[in-house]
Amino acid sequence: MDQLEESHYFHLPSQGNIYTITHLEAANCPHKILVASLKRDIFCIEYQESGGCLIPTTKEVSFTYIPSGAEIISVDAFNKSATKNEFVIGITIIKNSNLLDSSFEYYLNIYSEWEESDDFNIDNIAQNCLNVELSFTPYQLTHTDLIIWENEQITTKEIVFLLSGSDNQIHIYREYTTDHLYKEVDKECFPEFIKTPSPVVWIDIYYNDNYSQRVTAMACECGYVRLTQVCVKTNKLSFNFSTKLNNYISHLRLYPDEKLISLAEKPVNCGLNLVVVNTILPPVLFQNVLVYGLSNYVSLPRHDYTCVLTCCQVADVDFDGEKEILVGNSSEEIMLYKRDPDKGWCLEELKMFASPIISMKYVDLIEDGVNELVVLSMKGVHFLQHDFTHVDRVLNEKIKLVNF
Amino acid sequence: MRAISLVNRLEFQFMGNVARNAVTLGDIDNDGCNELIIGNNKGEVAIFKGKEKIKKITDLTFVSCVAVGDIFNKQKNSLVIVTADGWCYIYEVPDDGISLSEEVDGQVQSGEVLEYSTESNRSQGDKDEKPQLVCVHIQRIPANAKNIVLGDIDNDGMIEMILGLTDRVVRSYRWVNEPHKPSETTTAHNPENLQYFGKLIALNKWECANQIGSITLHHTSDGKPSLLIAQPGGTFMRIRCQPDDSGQAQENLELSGSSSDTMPGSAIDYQFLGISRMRNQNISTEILGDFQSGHLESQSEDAKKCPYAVATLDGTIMLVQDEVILWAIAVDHQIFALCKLDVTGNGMDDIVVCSWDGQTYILDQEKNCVRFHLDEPVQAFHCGHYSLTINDEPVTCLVYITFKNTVIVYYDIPLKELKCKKYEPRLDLLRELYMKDGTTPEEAQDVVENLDRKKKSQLIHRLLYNVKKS
Repeated sequence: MDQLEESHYFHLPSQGNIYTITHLEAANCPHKILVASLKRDIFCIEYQESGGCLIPTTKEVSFTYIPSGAEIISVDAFNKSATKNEFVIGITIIKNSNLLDSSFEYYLNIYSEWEESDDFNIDNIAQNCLNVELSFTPYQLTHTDLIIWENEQITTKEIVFLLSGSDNQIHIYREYTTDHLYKEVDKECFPEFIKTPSPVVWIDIYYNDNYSQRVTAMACECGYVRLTQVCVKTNKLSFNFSTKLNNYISHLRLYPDEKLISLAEKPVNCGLNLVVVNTILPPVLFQNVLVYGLSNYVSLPRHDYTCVLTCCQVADVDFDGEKEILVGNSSEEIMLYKRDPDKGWCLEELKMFASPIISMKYVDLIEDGVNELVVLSMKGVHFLQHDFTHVDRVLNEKIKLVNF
Repeated sequence: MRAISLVNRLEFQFMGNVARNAVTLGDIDNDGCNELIIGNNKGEVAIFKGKEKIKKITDLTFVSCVAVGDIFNKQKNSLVIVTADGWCYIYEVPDDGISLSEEVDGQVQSGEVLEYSTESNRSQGDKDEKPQLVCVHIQRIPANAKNIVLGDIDNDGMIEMILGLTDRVVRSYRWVNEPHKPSETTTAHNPENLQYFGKLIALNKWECANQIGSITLHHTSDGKPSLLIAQPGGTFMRIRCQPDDSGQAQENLELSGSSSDTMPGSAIDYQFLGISRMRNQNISTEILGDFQSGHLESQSEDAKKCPYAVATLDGTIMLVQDEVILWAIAVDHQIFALCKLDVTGNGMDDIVVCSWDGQTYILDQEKNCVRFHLDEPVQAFHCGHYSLTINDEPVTCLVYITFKNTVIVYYDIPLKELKCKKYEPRLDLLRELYMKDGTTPEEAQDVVENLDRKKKSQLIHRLLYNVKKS
């Protein structure tokens, strides 16, 4: 990780949270990071190319229907079009409607473009709002594919918003294009979304076997973790495991453990792993959950027990073909866990930051083929690039490997 | 604009108000490590080395300037402290300080006959083997100094002390040894101090039309020194001293003992830099000369360029060469401090400016800019190289003195380049991928050069993330 160097830093006027950063992979224009801060400000950050060098630019986007005094809980975005731009951005807000009593109103605001286009204009999106009033405190806003099979054929495939709430439920919001509105739909397509003992803090969904299997992992405030698999064709639960990890869980992530064969072939999937980041206790890695459920696990060592773990990212940051686990914490560090063939998972490195880490993403923002690590910290957003001489060296090795 | 956050930092406690020029970085004990020296309005000067405060000099009056340099012209650094009420103190670490430290202590204290003397050695806190800093000279000078420069202004190989005063006067001084006339301040039984028999003699006095912003020493491309004195409104006064004349002047001074206001041979001119846009004529201005542009080894034309920087409180930063503005930028922060530092380590000095609210801009000579924001208001700022441990090379650092009685040092600034760049693979590397099946290198080169950007980045992505290291 010492190969990662800060290329830009954006100072936020107020703090964000674990749900307030999202990534827009816009077509035909620079990719963007959308980051929201508690006190209503939403920023769109991108790198613009000019004369051989990149200029990081930040634009404050004024989304409509976010009243003054409202606070932003979560942000999510997706592109409905595969080749062009048809972005949908969801923002959940909490608003104190009456200053005298502490009654709050909660909304899910959905911003979208009218139609798909080659251009991307975030200001247009920000003006086109659909409003859903919520009867619960919103938590994580995310999205997934809604898949419906009929006679061995996928008849419906569209992206829906998922929102977890203080009512211990997960809510699904689907677009009705004819009426031009978003409505909450029944959970019949998602039989795994049964009520949890406490609000779901993080949910991660993974589709397997060409959308015929769906693995869902959910983590709750109380430490309850549920892992389910649904056969999408029959819409039946194939398994349902749960466990209790005692403390507040901040993040969880399903990731395929891929074996790389060659450049031409797709990597072979050899199992699905689940990382659960517990705020106080060490992170737990459940290995090969499709075979072992939640029984085959290791816990990742911690170096100090006084900080709160907030987020994680699974990525191959050292280009060795094996994925590493990055965990961010409140003592201003990102911890890098690496699997050692003999000793198992060890804490390999610590990278220090200027303020506590809240969230991170490992994405190719600059579109140069090398991913950047985008880190949301308490005070701002850090953009880290891999050191070019190191990338050159790795690329040289890899080209030699491919050729011989 | 690109911005960075900084992680490596040290924090020291230091009470009191610090004047703009009462902070410096320099090697006062001549061990090759840079120390941080800060003076305040209560007459205290603290010296920080590595991660601790190694020394505190107390009982001075309002410290307005501190500087480290070879004031005695004997290839050894000393610490010069000038107070606002007109005392100049020179401190030094004796050559054989380690073994003599305790002894020197006693002697100096016993030899302390001046009632105004403010020997600091009574702070016996540092009992370890560290060399002691002792006061070797005290002299009364005109009051109200606010700027100090130690440098050779007349090209005679000797270091002069130049002071800028709040009453628009610039004075220059040089140390003159008087070995046969021991001053009454030093007793005969103190052989250690024999070498300091002498005094700073006044060489010149210049009066400016307006308040002095800052003073800097600048060398033109042919190596001739001149003094640049910043004047309000982004202008400056330039003083050139001819060595021959000043030599005569010195003799005159020594003979007559009187100081003359006008010096034959010191040419003065005002520069307005032909700034066309409307500006506040009274805005205070900072100036800094002698920017290194290029490695000393390379004898190219570029290396001979010698620009200087001008910054005004209303936020204009300019790089000027031969009185022609190379470029100027305007920022909406009140810039009060202008420093130079080779942040990236490429041999070129970068401009580092700081505003009252803690916004710091690092600019290279090509106008590339990086920002850093300290979340606190700043009362004094400095940057340079600082040694964290004795064995390590000094590292780049930014020093902020806040209004909350703390000194914040950000060290080892991780900037290798001020520009943000896309990763561009070396084409000859990628070419090897296409050199199978009898394709000639030229054809492969052609293929690689014609790859569109999307394909190229996809290729790099797959190579990096989808090929297992053996």
